[in-house]
Amino acid sequence: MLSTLKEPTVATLTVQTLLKGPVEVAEDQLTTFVTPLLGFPQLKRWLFYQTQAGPTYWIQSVEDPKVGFCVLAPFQAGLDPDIELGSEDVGDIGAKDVSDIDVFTMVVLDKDPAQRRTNLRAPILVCRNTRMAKQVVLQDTRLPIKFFLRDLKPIGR
Amino acid sequence: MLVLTRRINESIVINGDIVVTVLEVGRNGQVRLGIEAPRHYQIYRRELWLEIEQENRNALASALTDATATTPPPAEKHSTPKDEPTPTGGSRKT
Repeated sequence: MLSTLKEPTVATLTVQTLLKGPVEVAEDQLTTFVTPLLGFPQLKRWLFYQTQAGPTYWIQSVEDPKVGFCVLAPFQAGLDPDIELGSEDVGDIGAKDVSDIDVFTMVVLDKDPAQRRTNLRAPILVCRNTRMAKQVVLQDTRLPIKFFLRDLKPIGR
Repeated sequence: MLVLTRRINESIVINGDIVVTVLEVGRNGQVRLGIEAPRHYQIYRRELWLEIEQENRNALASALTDATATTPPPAEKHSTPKDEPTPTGGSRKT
């Protein structure tokens, strides 16, 4: 009889975030990396969150509370990198086509503001529907690994 | 490390679906390799791989406590108390 109760069945868990402290999230709000971030092979589940609206996001490892990154949504930020994805990249994260995919780039928040940069060569692809993600290394050598944010032109230039 | 000796136009097969062929051996020590593999294998020069791995590590927010504590990143203002950054670099109050 108890089993007939219509309670939400999505499990929640507490994620320790670098910027917001403990955050309660539903399991299905987490993003799973099908191919891990390079250098962090053991970390699969991540929380994407924002501290304010805009192109800047943070990703937090669920498995390791010390591991968090700032990431940028480059298109929102006014960058227009020519990102060419293979069909296997799209399919790996369960996306039907590129319109299902959000793109983020890793940000290095260097102590020296002039050195703050983002990696356009190895973006993170996230499928909106499946919440699966991967970091891809693009073959296009014109995309810089170190794109300095000081070179970011204001939107609507 | 497995070491195999191959001549020009000879190949090795990895896991049944990857074929690496020696195409050219230059006098300067340069070797040209041809690689046939299913598209889902990501193949890169190792230096590129290591460089991106390093840049990912550089991006670790917890290693950048000072940067996040002194000046907010571009287009970002988090509500971290500006005094005494914790070792984890965040605003966690525990």
